[in-house]
Amino acid sequence: MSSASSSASASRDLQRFFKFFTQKAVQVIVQSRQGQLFRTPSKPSAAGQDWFYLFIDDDVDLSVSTKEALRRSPMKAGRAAFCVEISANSSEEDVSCVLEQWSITITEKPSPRFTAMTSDNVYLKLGLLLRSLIAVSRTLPAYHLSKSRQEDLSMSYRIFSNGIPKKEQLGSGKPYVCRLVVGSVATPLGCCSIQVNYAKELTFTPSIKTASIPIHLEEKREDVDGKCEKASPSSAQASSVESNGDVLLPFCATQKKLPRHPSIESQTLCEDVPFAALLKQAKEPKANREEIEEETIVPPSTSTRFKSAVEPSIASEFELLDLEEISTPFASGTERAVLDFYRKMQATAALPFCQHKTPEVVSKEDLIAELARMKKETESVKDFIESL
Amino acid sequence: MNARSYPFEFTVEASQIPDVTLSVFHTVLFHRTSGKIHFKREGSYSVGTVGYEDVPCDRLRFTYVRCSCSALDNDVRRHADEFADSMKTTTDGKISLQFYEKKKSHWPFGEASTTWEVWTTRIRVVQPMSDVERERMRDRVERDLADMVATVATAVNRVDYVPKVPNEKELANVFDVHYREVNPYLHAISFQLGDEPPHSGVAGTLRKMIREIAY
Repeated sequence: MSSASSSASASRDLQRFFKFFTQKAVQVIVQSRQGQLFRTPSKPSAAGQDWFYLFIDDDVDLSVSTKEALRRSPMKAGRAAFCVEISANSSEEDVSCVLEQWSITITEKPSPRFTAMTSDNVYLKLGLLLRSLIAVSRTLPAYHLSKSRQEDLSMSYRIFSNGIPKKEQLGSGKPYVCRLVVGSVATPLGCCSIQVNYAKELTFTPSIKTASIPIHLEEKREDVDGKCEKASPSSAQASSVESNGDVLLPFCATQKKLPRHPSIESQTLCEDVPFAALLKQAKEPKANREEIEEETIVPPSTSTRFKSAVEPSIASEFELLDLEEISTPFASGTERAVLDFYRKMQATAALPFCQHKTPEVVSKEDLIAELARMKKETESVKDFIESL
Repeated sequence: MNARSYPFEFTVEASQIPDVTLSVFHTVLFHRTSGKIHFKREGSYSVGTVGYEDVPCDRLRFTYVRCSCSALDNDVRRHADEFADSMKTTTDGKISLQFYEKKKSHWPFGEASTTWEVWTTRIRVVQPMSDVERERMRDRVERDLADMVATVATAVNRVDYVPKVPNEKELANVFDVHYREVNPYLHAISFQLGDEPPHSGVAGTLRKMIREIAY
């Protein structure tokens, strides 16, 4: 009875491992095609999301999509693979090309000698396989293509469970297709392995169109050129109904950290973004602002040069302070400076709650007497502080 | 027990030696490094999390992955730079990364080191005669590095011997414990130029110990 319960518990553990392993593997594959360098810190102790003793920073939207796909079709031995398809899309020719087909499979034939493997061993082995996936994903042609940052090229991914990747979809024309088995882990429930079919020839031909892109997501992707927009889960689900369990998401829709190509930003930002005219104005005097910042450290005698550098196109409600007008009355220590400061402050508009009071006109003699009184009090305050 | 041995060969320009060496050794160490091991009461232990970092090569269009541990990276770089400097006097050399564990041995030897895995990188230096040849060589090196990563992945995912986590007292006999963030398996790096004997490493250390004890 105890051995049956322990084997049932071990079986449940293994199912959980497969589920989280698949989620992490999808994160690794998709993130490696986002065209950027990743760095995650090592931690002295594992936290909630740190499965397999490896820190993989999860993309939230991708995580949601993967969990949804796994919920519909959990990873089990003997089922068809869980697949991630990476495609490149040319905006100029409006075509796409499948570059890679990653598949995570669990075969149904557990070898007898692996039935004695403990959950801990399987956990360690799956962690090792994930590390291999991280390393191998950086060596394939699609990785270099994603880093090339070509203006008319974007990459997208498709995740689907219960599917069979079709090699003939790879590339275009007559692709040179390679198959690589990243690694496999034998467990009592089956052999878990990751493999990839990838195209070495990365060229586009106008005749090839990928039929699996749902129309509404494609439209959203066009809007995404200038800005990053999140694909709503509802649209993803709708597409999954239409395309037989597929979830197609463009990189830009889920990528939060994708760095923008400078030329794309300059072309589209001012056209699509609201109040773009203000940004344009803000951009023009930027060089001047840099000049201004440099000139603020010059001595006051040359501040006339600073005045001439002020750009008249800056909004009038924000006035740059003239250095000459900034004075430090209390620092200079003279009574005249303090008096001038007080008179200037008297001329400012009264606050609304004080408007019922008319400001009192103070004579010069009263001010001098007030200052003398404050000086006397200063000494007593000093004595009090020293006594503390 | 015989150590598993994995040799690689690269034909490179002299300036590419550090990139190739670091790519191979960091790829291997990424698979042979555990999170930081902390022992608790009653012999149980917890394992920390290993972070990773993409590192683009300086002279090659290749990106390798290493553990996020700057101290480990510095140690490996030091060996790679030393090897690259030594290779200025020759066109043929090899550098090895050996994983070993310490075990108690019989008197008069205190501890014996047993190597369980060796990764050797043989480097041949060639000076290309033209830009076309240089580009062709670089493509070849980059393809070889990609094959190397696939080979490492295949090798480490096989069911082979890897030392288990021992008890707290013997942890330093299996893992290198002086890094703050991670615990790689005990390892040593040595290199050899042409027919010369290997520089540093486990074998040299063992010879020293025997000489000290015997004389």
